[in-house]
Amino acid sequence: MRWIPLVILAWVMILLQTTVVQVLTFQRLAIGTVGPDLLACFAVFLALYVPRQIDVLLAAWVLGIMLDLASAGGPGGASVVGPMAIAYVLAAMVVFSARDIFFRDRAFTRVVLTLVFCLIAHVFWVTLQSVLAWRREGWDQYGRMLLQAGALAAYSAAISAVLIPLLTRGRRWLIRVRSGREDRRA
Amino acid sequence: MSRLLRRPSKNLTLAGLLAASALCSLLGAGVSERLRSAVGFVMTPFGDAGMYLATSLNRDVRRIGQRAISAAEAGRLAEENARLRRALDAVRGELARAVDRQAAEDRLYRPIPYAQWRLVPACVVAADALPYGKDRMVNAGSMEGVADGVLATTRELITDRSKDLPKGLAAVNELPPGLAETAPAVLVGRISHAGAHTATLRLLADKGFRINARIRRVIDPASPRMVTLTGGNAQEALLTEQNNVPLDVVAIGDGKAGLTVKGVYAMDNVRPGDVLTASGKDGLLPAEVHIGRVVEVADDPERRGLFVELKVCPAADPAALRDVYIVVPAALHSGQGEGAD
Repeated sequence: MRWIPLVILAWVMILLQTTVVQVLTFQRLAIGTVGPDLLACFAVFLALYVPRQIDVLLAAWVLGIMLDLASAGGPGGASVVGPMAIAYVLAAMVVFSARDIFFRDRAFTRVVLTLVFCLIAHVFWVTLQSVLAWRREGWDQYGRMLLQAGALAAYSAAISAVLIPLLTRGRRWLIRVRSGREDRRA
Repeated sequence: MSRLLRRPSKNLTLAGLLAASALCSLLGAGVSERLRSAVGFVMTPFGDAGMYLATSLNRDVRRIGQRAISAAEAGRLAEENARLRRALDAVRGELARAVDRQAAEDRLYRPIPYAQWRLVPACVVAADALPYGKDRMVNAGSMEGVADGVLATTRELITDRSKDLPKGLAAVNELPPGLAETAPAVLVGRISHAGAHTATLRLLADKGFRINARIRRVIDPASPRMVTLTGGNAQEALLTEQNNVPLDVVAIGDGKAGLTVKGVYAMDNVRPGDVLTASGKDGLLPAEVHIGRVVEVADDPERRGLFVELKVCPAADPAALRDVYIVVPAALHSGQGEGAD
């Protein structure tokens, strides 16, 4: 794993997500705002192609904490930092475990795994934030936010069909291919 | 000893990071806001350009969908523009004379400082990374006098950065002669947390947004309405300029795209199209600033027949929001904004 390019690319993606991606965001839907999660696509790409599980989980934590730091709103007003980092690690663990039963270079695989990843991460995040905010707000928004998470997962899955192939092209800049001897030493 | 000094394994590192995340989650929103402020500086310089692109695109895309005007309408608009231009010239002449008069008076009388509110111009540099909240990061913080809880309005100028701006226009408080703001300000949200150089702006539609507001009922001669007057003995009467008192309410963000107002008497006969303004009673705004329009009036499910629940559509478009004024009351900025003044 090449950590410095990974952090730089993650930072660029979070910048895009908080600015330019607003163009792709639907603002006035009945369930609230729905936009794609670019970092989830990035995490799925890593879970598909990085050889070691521990590297995938560490990278997922980095992406999750960046997302946590870049989003202030949640159920009942302010959200806390931390849940998305945990959620990304959990979701990456599931995708990493499932990758061997799929053909990873197929678009269908990427779409399905991104959908699963987003559903796990965002449902976990919404639930945990609602639990932590229950004193302030209660659960009246929980159902709507779950629907929002589902719509976000579907949208991100559709975007992943374009984004993951782009990331795959620059794979060698992010993922170091180790020799057999290095692998045995590790 | 050497074992302790050895670099921790990746498994141990991940366990530590997850434990830190869990601890941070339990410490609450206050710690999280401080962490976000601390990393805000990595977003501010680069986010500005991205937001400019996103908001401009959003605005232009919305224009594409709008109906093209006919030749007759265009002619009428051109005529009206010419008439307004002539009127503007006349007003400019009057203004110049008034400025001369004022300058003469200023020489005679000592000016009395009167600034109860200060407008801090700021740009939206980032939106929330997740769509569940309605927050924006703005590039002004406590060093510029911004404090937690103050309100923000839109800021629209007659020109844009793509044009050749006269020097000094960036400091919007010092607009050069001949340039002025054209659009009336509307409320966009409240500062939920102010860091040193950035602040989090909570938009009107956010679930955590709450404001004391007023409903101004619009009198339409084409569709008159009856209201129940409660002063003395209650009686039904036609709503007129004389009995059209503003209704004090509390508006709360609905978490989706608008605001909800509860506890409005059904006998006040509020209708879609009526206007919601900030009450200005809390001293955070110098006037009743426009918030939005009532789009739906429904029976309050808990007190059916007696009260109604209103849905309000905000006047400010969050997708095209880029420039804002943060309205800082004098009592706050005298204590906190010395660094900027």
